[in-house]
Amino acid sequence: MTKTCWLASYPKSGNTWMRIMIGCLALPEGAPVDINALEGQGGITSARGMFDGFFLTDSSLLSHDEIDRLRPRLYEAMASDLTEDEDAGRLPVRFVKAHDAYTNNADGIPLLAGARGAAGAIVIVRDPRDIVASLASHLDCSLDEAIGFMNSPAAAFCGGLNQVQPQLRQKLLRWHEHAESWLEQRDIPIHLVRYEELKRAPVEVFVRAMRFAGVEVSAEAARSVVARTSFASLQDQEQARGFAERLRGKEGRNFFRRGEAGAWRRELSVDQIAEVERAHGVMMSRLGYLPLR
Amino acid sequence: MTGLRISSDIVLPSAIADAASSTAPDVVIREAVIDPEPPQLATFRLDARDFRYELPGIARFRILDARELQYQPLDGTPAGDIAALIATTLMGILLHLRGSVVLSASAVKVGQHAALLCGPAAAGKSTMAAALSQRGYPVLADGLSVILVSSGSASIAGSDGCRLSLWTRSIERLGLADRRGDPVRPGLQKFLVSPSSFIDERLPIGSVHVLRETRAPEGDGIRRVNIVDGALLIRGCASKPQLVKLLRQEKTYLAAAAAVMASAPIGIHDRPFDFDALPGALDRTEADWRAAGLIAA
Repeated sequence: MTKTCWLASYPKSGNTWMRIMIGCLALPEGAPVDINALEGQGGITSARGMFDGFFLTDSSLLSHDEIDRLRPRLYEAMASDLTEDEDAGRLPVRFVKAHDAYTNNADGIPLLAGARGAAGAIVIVRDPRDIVASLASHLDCSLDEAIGFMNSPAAAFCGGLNQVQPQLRQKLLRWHEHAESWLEQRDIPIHLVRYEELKRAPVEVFVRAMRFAGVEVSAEAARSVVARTSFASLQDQEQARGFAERLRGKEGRNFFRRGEAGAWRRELSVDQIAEVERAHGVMMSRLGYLPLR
Repeated sequence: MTGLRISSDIVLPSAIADAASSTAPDVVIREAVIDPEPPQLATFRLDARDFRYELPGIARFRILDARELQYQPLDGTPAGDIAALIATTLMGILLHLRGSVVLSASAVKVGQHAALLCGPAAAGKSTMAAALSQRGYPVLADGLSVILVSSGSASIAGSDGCRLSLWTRSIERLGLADRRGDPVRPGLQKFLVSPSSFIDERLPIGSVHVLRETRAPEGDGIRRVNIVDGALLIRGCASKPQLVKLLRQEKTYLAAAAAVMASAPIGIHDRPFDFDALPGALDRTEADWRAAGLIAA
């Protein structure tokens, strides 16, 4: 069976960058990376087509909660190689992107099926002050609205009710609750990756993350991956040919915006910084983004 | 409904009533007590003669010999919910079990042909059909289209109903509030809407468009495909692609695709999911029909 490893993160925390790096591993040595043709990927937990295909259903006729009652079964089936795995690549591990917070459904079952759904998770976190501007650009909203979204217990992607959503609902919760949900669950082992460390020492961080997932990557191979997936090169590709994963209706806004660590010092006002720290300070301290309180 | 005569003890949302018919029904739908299946991951147990399907907390279904569809509501699920699921999901499954070629497609009448708008859930099939009906093309089907092959040519069976299923946003943006009926399911912001014009005819297929959202690096437009890609697209647009595989219906779908392509071009229509871009998508659609000779230049 192909082992599943979640690539779990709050949105705009470096998940896509990590996925592109992993996709690079599945390419022949030296082959150029195409951000619109990611290899070796198992997709995203919220893929509507995979859900409809496996359950022979039309999920647009089901409520979000009804869908959530079925989702654990899908991930268990995926982990048992029972689903169509058209995206399966050449890696021994199925890496699946997950923006969902780690929650239980109405039946009290972990939405992502606990240990039946995956062998582990690489959890990527990023300083929430840096997420604000990136999220605002992604959602086409103001910085204050992005801060409000990150502090809303009802925050979700694709949770709308008045039109069919391209993906299944992903409950995000508040930013700190999202991080806490993954760090506190005891169903599966996790490997924590800080975006800032991935920026600072990508080769070492990538090798360690892959080792956790069960993929041995030499330092040389990792250096090749890092060289082919620099943020500047991803930006150049998006500029030239666009990026298929950019949100609907957000043409003209780059998915790969800055990718900096610490840009919040220039981008947020004093009040906005204080609001983020007030709302999420405890978790920020736990993750090293603020001095311990 | 989808070319079938149905006797049902539950009112189906889009069925065309024919109380006067004395012909024996093709399918009987009735409430029954259905034994639960042992716990399993899938929602269904595949047995062409005794197919089982269960949505937890909603309903249990059983299809016997592809002729009798039984349902049992669970946890007090209202009849409207059951009917909506039968009219879409279960009818799609039943048609596969009958060996029909059934596509996830809406269809409109263009000249003397049927033009199919295919795609998975959320592809915008119903919205395109509704907008095209406002341009004078009667709706033939919404959601499910059954393909009949005879002497190497393909046609669409009778309609799957006389109402479109549209989300609130589509209804608002298309100005169809006065045509809005009941919700598809109570509590769902998706409603049955009477199209501007509707027709129930068996018509030869003249065009197939597979609807997709424009995603980089592709641009907007309709791109005709070759025979191999066309065959794969038709199979991929089956109502339940997984059943095509499980029931080993690949050859049937290949033959249907060949028959369709003998007379109808197949194209992939990439367009933004943006109502402001809808007129452009409709113009492109009509231009492609014109190029195919379905409407006058």
